[in-house]
Amino acid sequence: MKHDIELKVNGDTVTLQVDSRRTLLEVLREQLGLTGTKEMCNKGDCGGCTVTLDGNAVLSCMMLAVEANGKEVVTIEGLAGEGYRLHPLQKAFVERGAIQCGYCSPGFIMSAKALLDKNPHPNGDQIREAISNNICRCTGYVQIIEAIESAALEMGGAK
Amino acid sequence: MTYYRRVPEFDYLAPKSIGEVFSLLGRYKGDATLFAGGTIALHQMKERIGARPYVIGLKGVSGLDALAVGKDGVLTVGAMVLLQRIADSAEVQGGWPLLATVCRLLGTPQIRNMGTIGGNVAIRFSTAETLPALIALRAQVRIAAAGGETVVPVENLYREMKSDNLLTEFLLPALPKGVRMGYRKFAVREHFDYATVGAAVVLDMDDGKTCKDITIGLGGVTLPTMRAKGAEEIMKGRTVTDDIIAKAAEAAAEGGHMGSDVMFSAGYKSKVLKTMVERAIKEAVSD
Ligand SMILES: Cc1cc2nc3c(=O)[nH]c(=O)nc-3n(C[C@H](O)[C@H](O)[C@H](O)COP(=O)(O)OP(=O)(O)OC[C@H]3O[C@@H](n4cnc5c(N)ncnc54)[C@H](O)[C@@H]3O)c2cc1C
Repeated sequence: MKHDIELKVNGDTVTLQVDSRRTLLEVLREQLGLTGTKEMCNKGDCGGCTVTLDGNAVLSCMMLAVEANGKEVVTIEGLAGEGYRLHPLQKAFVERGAIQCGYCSPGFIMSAKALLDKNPHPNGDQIREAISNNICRCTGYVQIIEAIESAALEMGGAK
Repeated sequence: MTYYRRVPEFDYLAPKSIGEVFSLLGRYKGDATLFAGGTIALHQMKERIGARPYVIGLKGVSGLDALAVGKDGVLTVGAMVLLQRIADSAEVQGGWPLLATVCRLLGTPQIRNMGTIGGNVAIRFSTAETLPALIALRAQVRIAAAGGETVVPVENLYREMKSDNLLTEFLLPALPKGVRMGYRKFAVREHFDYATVGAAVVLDMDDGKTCKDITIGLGGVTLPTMRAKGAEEIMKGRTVTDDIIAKAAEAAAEGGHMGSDVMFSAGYKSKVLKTMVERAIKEAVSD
């Protein structure tokens, strides 16, 4: 069964037709070409597919696209500013060596973004809790946590 | 276990009212799945566990997402209320902090932003973490069926809920003043993993010494053994001492039935459960 849906993705309103069984992840990657959002475990364990939906971190692989109708989605592609200017979180991940193969990074960054939007000054425990659904198999988590801390400082300082 | 990347084909139906849910369930008898947050349902469809050709989405059904305290002091929690909303609710934190704590410690931010309390309960897993808390809080659940509805204690849900029933809301009675609560869960990773075992305790004490009333909900055990009645009886009317708490915990662990899983033997889990009950009661005493 096909459904006509309307989404706001990274600020743009898009209308598209989706099949009942398509996940939000499949629609983002395959219909909208937004391949920054990754598929890894496809069952909720790894967090690689994390995007924000109306500001909250969700797993796009565990969500039917038809149920995102009328909602606002932000993916990793929606973070950078004008002229390739990286978001403070993206910059901090690069500078702090929080990236190795990079496959998990979009999910971590979106989890961190959802946290910082609600809580601009998180403590270490709050950061660890916010990324508890995300798995990295290369760097370990120390640099990732440091990157989020330093992005929080930079973003707080900019205000 | 075969795991497929794609979800099998189905038609998605979006009823707007509880009446429409039942007319769809009637029309597609046995061929339709209820779909709340989908965090379990979609996973099961990918694994081809009980996949059905029709999915009834509950997100647009009105009347399932109340979170409010009534004049009688009863807290109503609609089945579609998200776990994170419960954890964040000032009213729940104030009057039923046990439920807020359980929802805050459950799963991950993503799961709590997507999963509903109705889905957590309806799946009736022994590891569903809101169940022990709801039982300890003496919560009732309203179950709607094609022919009408009933309200039953959550602890009886395992035998009262039939297929094609819809849970519509949970009703949590106001607690006596000064009541204390405790919650302990044992999970491999406390944030993320299901509680292997857990214990939720609601305790009412006279003059800070005697146990006037207590309810104990166990996690990780079979549904009929989730309320630790034997342990409650040991505590009731007695002066609360370390010794009596240890005896109650022992009885609770004996009464809770559980199987071995991929990580832990039933014997080990039973030992850990005893410790969790003991700690949860002590936490309640000093609450
Ligand atoms: C990575 C991951 C981690 C998790 N961690 C935890 C955890 O730590 N603790 C825990 O307890 N759970 C955990 N879960 C399980 C799950 O996400 C939660 O239990 C959640 O609350 C389920 O709710 P849902 O709305 O997503 O249910 P759904 O998947 O939509 O539904 C679950 C089942 O209940 C039925 N159902 C749903 N709503 C109703 C209703 N109102 N009336 C009748 N039937 C209904 C559905 O038909 C389905 O069979 C985890 C899941 C994942 C994927």
